[in-house]
Amino acid sequence: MSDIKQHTVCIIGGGMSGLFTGALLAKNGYKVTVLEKNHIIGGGLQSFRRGDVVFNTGMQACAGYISGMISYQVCKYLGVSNEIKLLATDSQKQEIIWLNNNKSICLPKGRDAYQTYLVQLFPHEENGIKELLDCVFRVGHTFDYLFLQPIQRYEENVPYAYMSADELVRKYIHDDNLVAILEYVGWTTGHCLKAMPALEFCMMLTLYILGSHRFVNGAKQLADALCNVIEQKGGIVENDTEICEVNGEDGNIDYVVATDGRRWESEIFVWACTPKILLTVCREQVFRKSMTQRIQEYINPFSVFVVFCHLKKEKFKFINSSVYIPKSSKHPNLPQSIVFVTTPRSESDQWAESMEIYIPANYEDLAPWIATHVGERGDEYEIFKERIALEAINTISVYYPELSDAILNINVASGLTIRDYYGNPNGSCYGQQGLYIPIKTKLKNLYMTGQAVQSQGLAGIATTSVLTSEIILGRTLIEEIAQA
Amino acid sequence: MTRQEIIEKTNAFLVDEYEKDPALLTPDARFREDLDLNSLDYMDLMVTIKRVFDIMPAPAEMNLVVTLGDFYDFIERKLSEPKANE
Ligand SMILES: Cc1cc2nc3c(=O)[nH]c(=O)nc-3n(C[C@H](O)[C@H](O)[C@H](O)COP(=O)(O)OP(=O)(O)OC[C@H]3O[C@@H](n4cnc5c(N)ncnc54)[C@H](O)[C@@H]3O)c2cc1C
Repeated sequence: MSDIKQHTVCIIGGGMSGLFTGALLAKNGYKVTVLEKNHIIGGGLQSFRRGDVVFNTGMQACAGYISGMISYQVCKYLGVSNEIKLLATDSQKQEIIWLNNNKSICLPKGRDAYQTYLVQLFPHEENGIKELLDCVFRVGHTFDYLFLQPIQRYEENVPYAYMSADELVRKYIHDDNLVAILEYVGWTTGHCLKAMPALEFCMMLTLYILGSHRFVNGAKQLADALCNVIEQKGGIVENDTEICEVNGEDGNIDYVVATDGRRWESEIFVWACTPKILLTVCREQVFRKSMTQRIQEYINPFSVFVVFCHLKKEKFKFINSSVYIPKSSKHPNLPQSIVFVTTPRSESDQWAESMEIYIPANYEDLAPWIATHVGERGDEYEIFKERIALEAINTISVYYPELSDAILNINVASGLTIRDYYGNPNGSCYGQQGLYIPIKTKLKNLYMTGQAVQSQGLAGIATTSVLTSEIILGRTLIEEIAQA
Repeated sequence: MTRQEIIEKTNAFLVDEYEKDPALLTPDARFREDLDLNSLDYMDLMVTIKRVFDIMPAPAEMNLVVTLGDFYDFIERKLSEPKANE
């Protein structure tokens, strides 16, 4: 057996997509090397601990992690589904959306329950709600791979990629209050409905209505489990390795170079981070000009401040939902809400010990510090961030008065943290997701994966990782994955 | 913009940005079969149309465009319509 030469693949970016693609290729006999610029792997799957309390820096909610759907089946196929612990979000209230009049909307799981609930609230929109959800589910289901179907209907959905979610919703819904409630879907890809393609709206809403989960004790466990798969198959995952040159000639990549001068050769290379970075580190022409233009002109999802709140013991009840609090913003392209979640620590939590608050932000507001790096931004930056965090905590306290007293201490990350950690342009929380860039590039042995290929989150990344792996392997995996 | 200008601009971006062979760019060339531009390429095309002609076609309108000739007609018609916000 050892006589058979293993193919080598070098994956740049140790986030969810790099690790999923690496694990899939390692399982299928490739010698995998994953290169990650940060000290800790995982990208958006990173979580950190303060004492015994865990905070997620990125991923919270995993939509569509359900038996018979791609993210669940891929984890099963890779043998990691038993290693990761997820908790199903409260099925009666997956999302809690507070309104200005102090009433709350609690959106349930499941197409019928969701529709019935909205119709009860907006009986005059009954037909519109039904038709909108019909359309959402029809378009959502054209993502064949999400449902482990061979690709047949995918191209049907393309027209929805250049229609806005707002346009789609308003085709069926006339009540502005209902449109405002549906704005919450924009949070799933970091766009307001006007900037969100209808295609993403349909996919995300379908997945979330089908059901969402959250990691018990942090998202990093998935990164670790995938890393184990790669290493058990003889692969390598290198941290602290930032690739700054992708070199080749005659339409082929020969080697990549890290900032400290180390270089890696490989038969195949996979770019698993933001495409915009690739354009700056590769001298060869990677995409045809029209695609390059679209990458450059891409409207970045909005940026966020993340407030990591360490809570006192038994002071704030664990809420098994994503909670949306109204907060007006002067920027028309930002959602008029902030979101918070309490991280599950076990499958039966009563009390929360950590909370992450997401506050939409405009990158330009960070102008005084845009040229600075982590650890050298100065006191004014800290004061600025703290002011934003306290404002958000006060806003949430109107709805949850027990919060102010429950906070032990806070840490705040801004869009600059996101920019510097993930390489997302403009500190946007979802990077260049939903660009629909091709997996095959103009360079024969360079392939793309990650949220720019299709969509973000566990389902989007599982899909693109399978698609990229299939192209490299030259055969389909979807049937095996479906049967795992 | 005259029809001739529309043809020149369209063919210029198809050659320059989409790397199409100029010899293929005849009015009866079909986008999908002859020019090998599938519906995923339409996303790039939308951005290009907006930049070059400053119009944003509705999805359903583009679905009716089969050949390059259809495309020239379509752009000509759109450019002659009054703009929505004027
Ligand atoms: C604050 C925040 C909240 C989020 N919440 C959710 C959520 O609730 N639900 C959800 O589904 N999704 C959420 N997401 C999105 C989700 O985290 C991403 O879709 C997903 O992690 C993307 O995976 P990826 O592999 O494509 O990119 P990333 O996870 O960004 O991975 C890219 C990796 O490449 C590395 N890298 C970059 N440049 C280089 C280089 N030059 N050399 C080597 N390595 C490099 C980065 O350090 C990073 O580790 C959130 C994201 C953020 C930031």
